[in-house]
Amino acid sequence: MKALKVWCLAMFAVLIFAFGVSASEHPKIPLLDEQGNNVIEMAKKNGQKLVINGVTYYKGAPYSSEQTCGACHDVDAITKAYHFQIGATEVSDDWGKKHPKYHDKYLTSPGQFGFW
Amino acid sequence: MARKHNKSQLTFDIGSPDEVFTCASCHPGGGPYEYDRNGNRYDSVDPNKVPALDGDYYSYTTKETSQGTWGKPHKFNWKKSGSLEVDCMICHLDPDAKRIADANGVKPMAYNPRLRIFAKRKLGKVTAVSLGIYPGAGWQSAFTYSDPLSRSKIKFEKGKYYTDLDNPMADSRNYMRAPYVEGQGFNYVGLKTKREFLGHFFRWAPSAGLMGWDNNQNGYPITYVKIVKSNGQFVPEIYYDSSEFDEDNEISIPILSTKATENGEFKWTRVCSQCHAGVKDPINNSFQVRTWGMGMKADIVKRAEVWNLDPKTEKDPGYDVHAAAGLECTSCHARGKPAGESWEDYVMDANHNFLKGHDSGNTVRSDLANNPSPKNCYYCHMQEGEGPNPNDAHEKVFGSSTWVHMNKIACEVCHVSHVRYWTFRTFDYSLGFQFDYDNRHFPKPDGKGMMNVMLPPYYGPIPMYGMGNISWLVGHMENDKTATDQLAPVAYMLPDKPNDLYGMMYQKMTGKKGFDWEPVLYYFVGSHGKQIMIGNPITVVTWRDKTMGKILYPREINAAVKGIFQDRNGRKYAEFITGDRIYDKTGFMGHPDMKPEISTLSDIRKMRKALIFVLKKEGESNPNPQLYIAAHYFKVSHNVLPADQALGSNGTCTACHGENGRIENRVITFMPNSIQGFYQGVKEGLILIDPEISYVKPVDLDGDGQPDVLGATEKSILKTTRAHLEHESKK
Repeated sequence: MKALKVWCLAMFAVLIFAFGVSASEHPKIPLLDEQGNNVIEMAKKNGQKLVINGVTYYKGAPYSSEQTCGACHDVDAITKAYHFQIGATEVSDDWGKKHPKYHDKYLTSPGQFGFW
Repeated sequence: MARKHNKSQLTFDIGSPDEVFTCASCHPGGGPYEYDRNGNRYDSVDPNKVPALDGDYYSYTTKETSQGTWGKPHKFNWKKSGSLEVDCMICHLDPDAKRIADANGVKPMAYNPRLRIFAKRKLGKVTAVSLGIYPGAGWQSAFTYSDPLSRSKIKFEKGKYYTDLDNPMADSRNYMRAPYVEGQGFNYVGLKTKREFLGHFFRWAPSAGLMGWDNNQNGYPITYVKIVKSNGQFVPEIYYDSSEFDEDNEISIPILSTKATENGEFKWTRVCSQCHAGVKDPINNSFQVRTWGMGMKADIVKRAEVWNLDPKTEKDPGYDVHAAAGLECTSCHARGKPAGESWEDYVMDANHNFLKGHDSGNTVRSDLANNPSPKNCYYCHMQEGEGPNPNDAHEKVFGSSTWVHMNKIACEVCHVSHVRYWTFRTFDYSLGFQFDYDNRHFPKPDGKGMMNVMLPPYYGPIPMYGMGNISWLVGHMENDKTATDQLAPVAYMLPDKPNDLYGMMYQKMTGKKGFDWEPVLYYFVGSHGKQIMIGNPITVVTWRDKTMGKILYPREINAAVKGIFQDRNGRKYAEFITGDRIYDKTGFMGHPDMKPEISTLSDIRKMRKALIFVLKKEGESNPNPQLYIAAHYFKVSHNVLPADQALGSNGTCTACHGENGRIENRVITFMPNSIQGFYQGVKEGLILIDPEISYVKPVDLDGDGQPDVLGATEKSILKTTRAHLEHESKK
């Protein structure tokens, strides 16, 4: 992961130097599927298409945001945050027993995932 | 939420799959929506190796939860649905850049746009669904009752792209979580109307989310999603507009960077508000609070949070002095880059735990509360920030009493003197959830027949979260005569749309056009110690089984109630599985509210009997259900008003200590009706009031000797919450 991150940073620097891309602009990226394949490349290879008012759509696999963004960003680290875990970091089968004030022995966490 | 390990269905509430197809309309995926409690990705686990009743891999069907059921759950097909990965684009796709324009020039949100959902039917049964793009003659709306094509008065042209900003069930990402059609499937209880879920397609949800993004501005989205029936099963299909990609099959993405915490265009405020608050979208000029079908953003529900970024007056709903000065959500809640780290390095794995205050319900990672502190009033105005120090101004007005108040009372108490948008106060699940999906059992405001237009549900029309017409009570209507806030079913909302039938109903019921309400004072831990705060005590009325020590599950409560019906005299009643009935006995100003309710011990016993029947079917030998009432305060800390609207700004004490002030004689309503025999019910264990709200009691508002509501005086709330806080701090 670290090597990949260094590569991404290096590519980012090259883009800025070579093409004048400002630091706020994101470099071009491929959309990847769950297996890490480029979705549009694979879709074109498969060749199933749909033409809508002159616009050509190729049928492909759903894109994976985790593969796509995770190629450079540390998605595992980012998704440790509360907005993603919503209680899962505190979940346990006996949470409710340990917190009798909630009057439900079977609650499994204080958060969205477990309290609902 | 079911435990991971369960010996029987008696401990099986909703499973992890239900959580995803119910709650992920706001939550971004990843975490427990992708990985099970052992850290395995759901869709990678061999279903044959899953233990029976594993809370991560079993669930009840939408029909079972909707209509109520007993018995064992079923193994959920994660292989087919896929896991719901984290979706970075929810927040990081620039909300303004490269939006698509629909056939009528409407520009929806770039991410997760609300689209027309078209369906093709054969012999009355859906065979295919198209998101956004109208395939041509023979295609109709997927939502036969709540959103027929005729409602939009548009002539649809083949191959063109159409939005539907008013339909909260039609946002593209969320539709894939719980795609459904109306006109077939299982019945809405009490009405001969039907709905059917086509499956759950979590793997396809992020791709569908991109249907508002048109990088090359050719009028067509980057992705196009269909659902087609193949071999008796519905299957999603994703198509990519090849012209959006370059020769290397790559694409430019207009990313809203973590670095741009303040961009001068309130982009982050609008991004956060997708899930948290109401805000106006400057591009399509719609108010993103699901106007036609109600606003359901998380912090509207809890505390009426709306950001009015273009107010005409300082009294408009959603006005905020800090927003008026250009501050965004991220101005105060962004964690910021650690000193010494470069931005380029930081954005690769930035800590996404945003700075937060202390949640009174202790449900949001209390270990992160004020650790470190967001930029709150205390930080900016009295510690390190650039806000003007208020000490002199307060001493000038309040003299010697200044510090008694400033030490004891959080700034928000006086400076968020009114909230001017609606919020919920009570979720009354005492008669279940199942009959809530269709508002057409309500009368028209003019009394001439019943409502004939069905509001679209939201969050996915999933049990518990669909169209909460009459179980969800809005607590925004201050009653001027008695200093008491009133509650009404959410069905009577939309006062800002006076020509809307519901708006008319609201005004008829309440005599009011606006939403002003006064937050409730209570003691809690503030930004610098124990203080009087303001908030909204969200109340839940439900059932608990004393024998097992559990809150009953929605499917169990729903199974006890056949539905809501109307007798020959037009009276509404709930009928139980045991054949017993209870009638609507309450209302406003002489009008019945059409909401049957539990208001006597006899009602409690009838519902108890039905619940005991259900729980015995579940396998419990000696069930003992009791009506359970609990509440959590949700702090009100935003929408700060100008100083001249603050309590006490006129230099007197009457705003709080006057006869009808915030403290003296004020009654807070927790339930809009009382329960006859309440004290006897508590004594017999038929009613359990959570000890944290032990102050909730029957209250006689009009002095006729008969209790009118279940409520509490502000004084009793302050006394009890203070004692509770002191007790907790001694532990």
